[in-house]
Amino acid sequence: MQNEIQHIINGCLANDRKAQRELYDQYARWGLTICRRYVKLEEKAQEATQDGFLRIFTKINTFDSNKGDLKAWMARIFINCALSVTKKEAFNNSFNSLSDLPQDPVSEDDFYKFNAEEILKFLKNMPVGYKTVFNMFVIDDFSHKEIGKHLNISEITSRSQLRKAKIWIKENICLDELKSRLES
Amino acid sequence: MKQEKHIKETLKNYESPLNMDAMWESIESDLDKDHKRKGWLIWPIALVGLLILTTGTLVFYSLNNKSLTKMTDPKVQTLIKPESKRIQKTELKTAPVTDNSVTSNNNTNDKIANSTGRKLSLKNNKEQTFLLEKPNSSISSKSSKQNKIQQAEINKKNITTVQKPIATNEIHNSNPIESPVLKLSDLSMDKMFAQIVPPKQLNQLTPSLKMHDRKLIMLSKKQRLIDPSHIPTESNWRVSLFGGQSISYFNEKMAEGILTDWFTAKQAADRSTNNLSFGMQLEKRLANNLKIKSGLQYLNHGQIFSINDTFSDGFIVDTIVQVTANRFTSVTETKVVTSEKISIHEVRHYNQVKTWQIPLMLGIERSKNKFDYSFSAGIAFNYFQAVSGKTFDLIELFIIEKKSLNQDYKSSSLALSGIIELQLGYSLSHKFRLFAGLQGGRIFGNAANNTNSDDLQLTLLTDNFVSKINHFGIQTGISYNF
Repeated sequence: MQNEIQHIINGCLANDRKAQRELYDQYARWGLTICRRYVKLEEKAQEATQDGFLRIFTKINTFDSNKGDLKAWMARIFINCALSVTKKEAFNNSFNSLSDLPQDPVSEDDFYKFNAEEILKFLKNMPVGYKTVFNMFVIDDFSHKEIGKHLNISEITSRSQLRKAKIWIKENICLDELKSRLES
Repeated sequence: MKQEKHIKETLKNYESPLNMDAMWESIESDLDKDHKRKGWLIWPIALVGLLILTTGTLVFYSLNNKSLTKMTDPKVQTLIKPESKRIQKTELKTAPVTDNSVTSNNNTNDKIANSTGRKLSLKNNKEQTFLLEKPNSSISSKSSKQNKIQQAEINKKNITTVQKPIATNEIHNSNPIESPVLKLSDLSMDKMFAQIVPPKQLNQLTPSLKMHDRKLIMLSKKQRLIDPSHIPTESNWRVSLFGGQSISYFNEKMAEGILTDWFTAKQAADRSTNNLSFGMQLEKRLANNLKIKSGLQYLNHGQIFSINDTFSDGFIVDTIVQVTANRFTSVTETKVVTSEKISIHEVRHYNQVKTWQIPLMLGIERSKNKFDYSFSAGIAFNYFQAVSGKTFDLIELFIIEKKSLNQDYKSSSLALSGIIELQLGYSLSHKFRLFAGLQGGRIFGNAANNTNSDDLQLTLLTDNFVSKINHFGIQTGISYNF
């Protein structure tokens, strides 16, 4: 497996289309998931994935296998691309004064039965600031210091955004008892 | 915690459905474009390199060729006249006293010719040749008195065989009949110089004349410099009044940035302004056409015609929509795009920046007939004052919130700058001279004494505020020599 990856990297370094396609085939869907976690609109997420691959192919010479594995390096690139798109997206939305619409709360039971697509859909409605910090900290294992650096916010802000994200999740998952009471 | 774990586990390695081929096609086309773009980059770079190489080569060859043309140019021959006198003096001082070493002719050329008993003439036809006349043995062996008589006879006959002699020839043409005519093309500069000035005398000449080729040219330039006929006035002092228009490019950086109660950001602002400048300068001429100058000049950085504020590692934020300005208080309205964390839009900048400069420059000036040109360089002490501000709407991206704010600041600072100046002058008379020139400089400054009044309650970390101002402008004015 390691040899196969190295072979692909060497091919990409030599600007070999076949190797590039191979890398793309292996990681495109996974890369798209990363972008979808951060970016609200589907087409923008695809745009970010595409940008990510372009960056990967053009910057592959900067990848150092001693510092980490290729997947982690690629993940960072996808996240960066997704964040760029997020910022533009948030900015455009800000002009339209669009606020995130509240969604119907889901039951706790239903939540734990959610597949990946359903979770992505659930998280889509989280305010972009919370979602970004939540994704970075919980799923992508960034520290608050790293998040602060990436988003140009203080560590305190990062922590508070994460706290707010967790509150938001809780608020949107109703306890079964509460839900049944509401339904009745 | 439980929910977070569930989200992480479900999403960590999830692969979303994707139309693989469609995306690959667009990635591939982008990659091709990128390669093409890189290919295109090579051409301008190569072109610029070629241009520099060609210009360099041309300049080099033209400089070298000038040496030859100047030697054969009758104008240059006249310029060498004073040096011929110097040669004569050297000869007189050092050559052993012989019958033919003392002359009293008015014609310097003849003096030289007589001092050796041979004449070297330069015909003024198209193909420049050095004609060595047959030696007049009677003249060479006669006493100085006889020389005088001989010369008087020549003068009477109004025969000026020697038009533009350069120097004497004693050794190399002991038998000039063998080579009465020397074509310039036959001689290298070294040989020609040896023909003109014999090695023995070479040792007695000034160090610069001992040289050949380029050094000789240097000498002729020097001669031109010291030739008083080219200096329109002999005044040593000159006072000039000038005015002009210039462009400034401000680059301001705040390393640690603006600190507010709600955000911290590094800010870099690039501004270009259209300036009005006027002032006076006093200059004194020194030896060798050098001059020093100083004065006072005022720059009013008026209307801003472009501005870019960059926050943190964000995008460039400004695009000018409209500029309404008068000369001394400019107001610009800008539409802003975005930054990493915040966005600013509908900015109204107003700005009034003044700079007082005291330049201190050393220059060199050359003149030809009524024209002169000079190049000066030096330093300038700057004092600037800024009263500026802006009103804008801010949007923090992560927590969508709009704020309309005002920001005003005043600052004054002292800074040092480098300054260069090119000037072309035309003498109206011995006293008055009109001139036009280009002036450029770079001011390095640290803002100080900032005062802010704004809704953001900005705290400017002045130690980290670095301002670099490049300015370039055209000036015209009038000078008075005294």
